Amino acid sequence: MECVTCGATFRGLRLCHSNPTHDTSHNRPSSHLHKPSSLPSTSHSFLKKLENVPLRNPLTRRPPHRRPSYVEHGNTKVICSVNGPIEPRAASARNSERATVTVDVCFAAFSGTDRKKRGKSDKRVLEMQSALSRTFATTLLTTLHPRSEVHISLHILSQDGSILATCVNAATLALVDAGVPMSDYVTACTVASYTNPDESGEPLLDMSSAEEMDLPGITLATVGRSDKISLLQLETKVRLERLEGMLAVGIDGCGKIRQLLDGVIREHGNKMARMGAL
Amino acid sequence: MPISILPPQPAQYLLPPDPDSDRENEKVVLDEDGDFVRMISTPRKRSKAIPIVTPGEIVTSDPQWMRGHGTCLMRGRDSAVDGDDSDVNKLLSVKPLRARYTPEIGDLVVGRIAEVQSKRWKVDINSTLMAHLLLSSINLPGGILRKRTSTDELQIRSFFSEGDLLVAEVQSLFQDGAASLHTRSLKYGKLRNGYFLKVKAGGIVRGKSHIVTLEAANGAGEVDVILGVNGYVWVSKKVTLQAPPGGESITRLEEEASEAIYSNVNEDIAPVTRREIARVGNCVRAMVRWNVRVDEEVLNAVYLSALELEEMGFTEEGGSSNGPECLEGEVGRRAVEAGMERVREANSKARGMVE
Repeated sequence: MECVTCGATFRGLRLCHSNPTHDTSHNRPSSHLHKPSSLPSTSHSFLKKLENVPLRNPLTRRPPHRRPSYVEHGNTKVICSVNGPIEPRAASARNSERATVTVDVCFAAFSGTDRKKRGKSDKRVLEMQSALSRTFATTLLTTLHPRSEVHISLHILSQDGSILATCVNAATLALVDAGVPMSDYVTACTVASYTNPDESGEPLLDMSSAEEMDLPGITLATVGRSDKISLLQLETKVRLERLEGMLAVGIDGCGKIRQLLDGVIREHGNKMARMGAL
Repeated sequence: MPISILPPQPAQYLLPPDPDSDRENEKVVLDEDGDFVRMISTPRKRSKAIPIVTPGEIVTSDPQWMRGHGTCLMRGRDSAVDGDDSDVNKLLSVKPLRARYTPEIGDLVVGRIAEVQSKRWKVDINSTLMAHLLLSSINLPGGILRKRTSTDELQIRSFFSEGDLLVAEVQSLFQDGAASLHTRSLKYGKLRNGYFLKVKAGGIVRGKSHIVTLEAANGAGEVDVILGVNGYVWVSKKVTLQAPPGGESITRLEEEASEAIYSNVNEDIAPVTRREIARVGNCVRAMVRWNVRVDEEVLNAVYLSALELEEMGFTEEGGSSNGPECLEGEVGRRAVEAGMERVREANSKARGMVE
């Protein structure tokens, strides 16, 4: 198949696996993956696509005390609320030097293709919780609120790949909105390594669950605009020579998501300021 | 000619100021959370957009600024801001749009007992940490001069037990930012005969007086409103202490008062009073919702406007399940707007009299 606008060939893989009824811009011919000629431009053409990732309606209207954030990456939907810093609910969460970050992840039973309940002690859930709490513990300025606890509660309403990355982005939005001091945004995305039949391969950003099943991929999170990686998860086998390219694309992707989040936050903040919230 | 009655036009949306208007003397400020960087206020005219800073934004790299709240240093450089050389201060700080309450000494707060320990209570005051209320910093029954004994320690729950609401003042702060409260005044102590509501912490600003008495309509008597700086608000029927006949001393009065002060029994409250208490509570909510400062003058005006709206029969559409006291949405906005108008009128009238 050829791209209508530039004639470049593209794959049938979707970069953002959104429901067409949600984001029609996705169906425009120009929003397909372009075949890049070299790595740097690779990431560029991919990033353009990333703008189509529908991060919709991120701060819902709720009573002012605790507003959850809501993020969609394609069909993956996550809602996150932050409570804190608060007095720790368990004595074990009290640290006299810094605030502790606790994370609850809850998969809705209806979120996957088959109805399945995941208990609190599910290995995968526990692993996500600890990965998230370690990621945010390093970026939040926890020393400002010793002996307290920042509690992040995540609910996955719909799963279609990139779940951990979506959780990170949702949690970042909610933390910023809750006024928890942090040094910079933490943003995350997934990158897959894809091989063409002609052996030329380049990384793909933002995997859907079908892609996650078939392609080796990584999840990575970066802090702010820097190249500092605060979370890197690799659950499959990846060819070593591919990894560097994947990281480069992933870091650029995270930077792009940071811009999206920043835009949303600013718009929301300006709205509040205009309403006289200060 | 037949007379036609037109439905009232929706009021103009006055509250949010035009974003493009230059507001002089606006403190800058702002926000969003947390950290890193931001700016401070200067009296010069601000640019058109209201400045909002977000985490990770570099406010300035000029070393002449001092780092204040809400900012942090990166790589040894002051990340801070767009400065205007105000010689008043060189301190840059960023004020969050929304954050939890930070106690300061002297704040009047409303709190709820969360835990009882051997010589102290832990009080939830909407802050990052629980506040402490020491047994030695409350008024013990039998007069303030009485010494604290071990009997008092044993019956600590007879003063306050879990779930009780109280109004107190922040007496001191611990190193980690937790507050220590005291109730050593007749104004403070256990709350009853009323209704608790919670608004966002920044919604109530520190002012001259946080205990407001309103003359309620419909023969409901007087209603007391306690506006805790922490965003907790208590609206109750006013209870006056009966001075004992025979003009006894102040000490005697305090003694009697302090005995009544730990009672858990509500007085009889008439339905009209309850109705007005609910209305006052909704007024406070609507004011915070529409970002209007809550103080005695404005609260009074908004309350009167809310009453007027009810008289005019203006209630929320489809709100038949809500009583006429309901001030959600449009009704609340109109009440607040009308209240502000009333305050402005009164102010200009007062100014005219002076001239």
